[in-house]
Amino acid sequence: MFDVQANLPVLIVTIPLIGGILTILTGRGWKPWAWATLLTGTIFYLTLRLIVAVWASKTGIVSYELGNWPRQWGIEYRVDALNSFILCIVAGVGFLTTIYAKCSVEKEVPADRHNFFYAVWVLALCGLLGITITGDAFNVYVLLEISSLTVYALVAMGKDTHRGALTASLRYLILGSVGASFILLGIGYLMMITGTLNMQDMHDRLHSVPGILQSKTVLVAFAFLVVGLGIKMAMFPLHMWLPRAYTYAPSAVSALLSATATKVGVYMTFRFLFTIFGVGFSFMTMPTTWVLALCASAGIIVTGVTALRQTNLKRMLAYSSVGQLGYIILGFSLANVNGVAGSVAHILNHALMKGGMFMALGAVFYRMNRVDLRSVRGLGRRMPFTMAAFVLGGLGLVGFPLTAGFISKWYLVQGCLDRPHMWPLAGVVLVGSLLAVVYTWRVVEAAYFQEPDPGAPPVTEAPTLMLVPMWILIGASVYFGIDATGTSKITVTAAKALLGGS
Amino acid sequence: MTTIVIIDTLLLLLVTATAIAIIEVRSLYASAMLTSVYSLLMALVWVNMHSMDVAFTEAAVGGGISTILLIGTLVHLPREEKKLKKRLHAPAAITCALAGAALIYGTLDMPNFGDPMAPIHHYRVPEMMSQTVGFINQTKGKQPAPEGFDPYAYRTFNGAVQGIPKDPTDTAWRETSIIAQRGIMVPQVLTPGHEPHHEAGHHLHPPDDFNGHIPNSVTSLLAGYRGYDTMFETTVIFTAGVSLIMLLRRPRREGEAQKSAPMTDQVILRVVTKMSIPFILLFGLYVITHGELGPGGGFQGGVVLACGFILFALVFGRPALYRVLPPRVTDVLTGVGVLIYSGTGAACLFFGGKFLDYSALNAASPGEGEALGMTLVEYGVGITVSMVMLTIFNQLAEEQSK
Amino acid sequence: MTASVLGIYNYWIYVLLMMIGLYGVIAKPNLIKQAIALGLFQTGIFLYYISMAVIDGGTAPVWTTIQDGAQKFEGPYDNPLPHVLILTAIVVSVSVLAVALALIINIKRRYGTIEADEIDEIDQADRLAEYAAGQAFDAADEAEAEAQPAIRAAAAAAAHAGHAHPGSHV
Repeated sequence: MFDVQANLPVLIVTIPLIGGILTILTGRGWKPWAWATLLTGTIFYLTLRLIVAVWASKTGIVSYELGNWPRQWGIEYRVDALNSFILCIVAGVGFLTTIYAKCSVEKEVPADRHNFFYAVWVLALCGLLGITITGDAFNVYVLLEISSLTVYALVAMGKDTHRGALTASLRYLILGSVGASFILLGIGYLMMITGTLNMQDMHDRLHSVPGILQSKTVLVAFAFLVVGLGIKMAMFPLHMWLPRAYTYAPSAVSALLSATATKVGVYMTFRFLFTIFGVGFSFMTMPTTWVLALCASAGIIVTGVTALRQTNLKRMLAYSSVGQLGYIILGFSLANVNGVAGSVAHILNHALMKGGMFMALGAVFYRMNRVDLRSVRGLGRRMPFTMAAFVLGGLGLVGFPLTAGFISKWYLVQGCLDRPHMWPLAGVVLVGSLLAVVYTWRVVEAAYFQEPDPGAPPVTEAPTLMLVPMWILIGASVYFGIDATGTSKITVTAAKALLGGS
Repeated sequence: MTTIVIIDTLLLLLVTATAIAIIEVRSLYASAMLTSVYSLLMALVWVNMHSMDVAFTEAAVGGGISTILLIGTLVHLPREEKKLKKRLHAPAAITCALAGAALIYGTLDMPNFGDPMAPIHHYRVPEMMSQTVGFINQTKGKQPAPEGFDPYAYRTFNGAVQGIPKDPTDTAWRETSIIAQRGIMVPQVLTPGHEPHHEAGHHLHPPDDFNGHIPNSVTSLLAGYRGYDTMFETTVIFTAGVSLIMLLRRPRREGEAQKSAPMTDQVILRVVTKMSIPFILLFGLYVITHGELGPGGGFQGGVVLACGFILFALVFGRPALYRVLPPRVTDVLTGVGVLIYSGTGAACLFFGGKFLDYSALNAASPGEGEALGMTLVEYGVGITVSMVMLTIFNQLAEEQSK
Repeated sequence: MTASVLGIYNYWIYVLLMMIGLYGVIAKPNLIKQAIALGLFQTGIFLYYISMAVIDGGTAPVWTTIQDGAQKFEGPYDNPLPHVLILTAIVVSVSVLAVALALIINIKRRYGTIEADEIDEIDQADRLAEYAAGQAFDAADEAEAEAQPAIRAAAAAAAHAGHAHPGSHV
């Protein structure tokens, strides 16, 4: 046969590709779901093997050249500590969400479309994994388009529940395509000045040819890349597509997106800002720290306040997601080890918590057909496991000690205090936590302290197939809050590697 | 240089005028027609810039398919845009002016248009393109190597090459050897003394070089060096096809006849279509196959194939098309194309190479393997593109049912 | 200075094309216009990439002019790398257009209009109605009315009150 270990990086992307296409042939019933679960499980296993391989290698980097062309001319896959970590998160959440999706998708998507739905689902995962693993700038753009296109289609499949899914998807399409075009423009400017497309090669070229970093072209490329990436990772003023997309998408899709899509956008920002342009140019020469920190802080506060006023719980969590992404952006805008480590740790923690919370809301929708504050009344007694998962996730959002959110917020506050003039940002972090307390408390109050509507149908707990993935995610977030040594080691190594490239 | 610039400027003025018209005109059909004109003018601009493959693709995809899709959609939609309260949207104009100013500021440090000393022309691409092309002649097949040439030395390169300095940051030799001696971007006859810079353990172009089989360097880049990108691009098209099926297809009820409006009473249309379709299909297959030797390739040929089928559907009605190509068949064939592409890559894995390392397909003659791999993937691309374009047209043109 | 302006004014025309497209995307409420303008914007970017590849005195990068190991064409060939990238990008652009058109058809069927401002109004009305339904139930719950007509009257009154509220949208 062939050597799996040596070809791991490419298998992680090609197995969902080929498998996703074959999903169309699986027909009706439970078969598409079973095939998708098999695929995502295999990929998760392979990403775990890859992270082991990365930590076992001498240089800490696993490199794979497609077609055996040398990396300067062909496309290279380059996996280091940061990469492999995010790959595991994306693959793991993808796997758990696929298990969860069986019941949720049966309810929300017409039965004759399931094979197409799961095909697009697996291809979305393929795109997200591909963005994370590649070391070539144009390959990032192509895979970005795959992941975006599949997500537009997935979000639009909420149309049978609410027609708002269609406008949400179209708005996301237009904004996302403009963002991707800005990224393409930035890559083009960079290619014109450096002459190459490999990320490592671009970095070497930008830092070896004299005078190139002062050229206006590189400056404008940087600006457009930041704007394009800001749209993709939902940075504050460019986040307008996110609330509607998360609200009206099918529940399983919301869970998957909230945990993966914007995080991969953040990863792309890491690669462009830290690996290609280098910390020196991105954060010392350009006023990036101020701009990003300002946008992130404004985002945390404004979206926190907006989340307070929502009655639709999915929309509330969507605004909360933008706020949490603000924390991640704030972290890496500080450009010190604690800040970047906190940022990377929050990628993991937010993925676990938000994924779990969206799954809980999906379970509520499955039973109650609604997800507003009114429908959640009294559910603390009737759906105890679901609401307990939601509350634990909420505690994580707040940053309560013993949850994973606490660890990442700790790093973030440390990072803020490490830089001399940035201590007001620590205040912003705390204000954000207070806002999270308020909007989580509203749900807790409704679920545990209010009586259900007299006219509400009697409901039981959600099906086990929905509960198990939900509790695996929430349980993992609590586990990583209690035992943070693994996370710390990985994130600090990743942060140092990112910051080390000058 | 001057001729290019003059024609370029004239065409670009036309293009700009068309673009402004597209934005401002209220009738949506006129907008769609003007988009077609815009694409064709853009294709002309690109022909003027000597990019034949891209011009072909833009003319076929932009001028052909996009227009058909737009008009197919406009059948279901209102004919005109609503009248705007204000002629000019001030915030948008200001944003665009600022963004445009920033972009123009960025162009101030760019290399001049056509400058042969631009970084992109002498940093990586010449190395990629100009190796071991010396064994080309017009006949396919294994070429005899010159005297004293050891093909297997290239498989495991040990780094000891004459004339290349040990210090990797000393790149001056590259500039003098490629630019000063031979001119830029000229395929070079292999001489001892100039071997391209490469790293241990890789093979370069194999000695019976595939560039001899594939003179169209755009295809060799597309299917070879950046074949991975192309595979994902084919997946993007596939995803678009599947998304359209998911969003628009309605279950076919038994006995329900497809509504259609065939134009079979138009004698000229019917006769000319019947005569043209075989040639169109043949031309499409020709473009896919000939893409290695001249402008063309899987995308362009696939689109031409699709246009043949779409023409048939427009004139004879979609039920007639469904008798020839049932939806089941098109659904399966869309996947088959991408599977051919990724299957070729996987086959390379099974033969012991890396993914998409086509030379593993034919161990005795790696150049033949490369050529075979590229031919296979171009066919895969052609099949997927044609079937997906046809699927998209079918879904967009379906009638509403109540 | 003059020489360099002559050398780069092409790029300025491409920027103009891009900005015309971007203006169309932002300013026009009609969804079809937005989709077409997005295509214009992207084509401007492609034009910029292809212009990167042009070399003075060059020709198309198809090497058919070599025979028996000797070169017949002495001049340079254009750089094929941007051509490859743009082939990919053109096809991606048409795929995005196709999905956008499918979404627009669905929107027309469900909303009845394809003007973005009218759709926004319909969405606002939807959300107000949902919020009002929640408020109506609140009022009925707190009133503890037993009789059905009393509940309905309270619900209607609260629905009016709900419409007067600004609603929870941003």
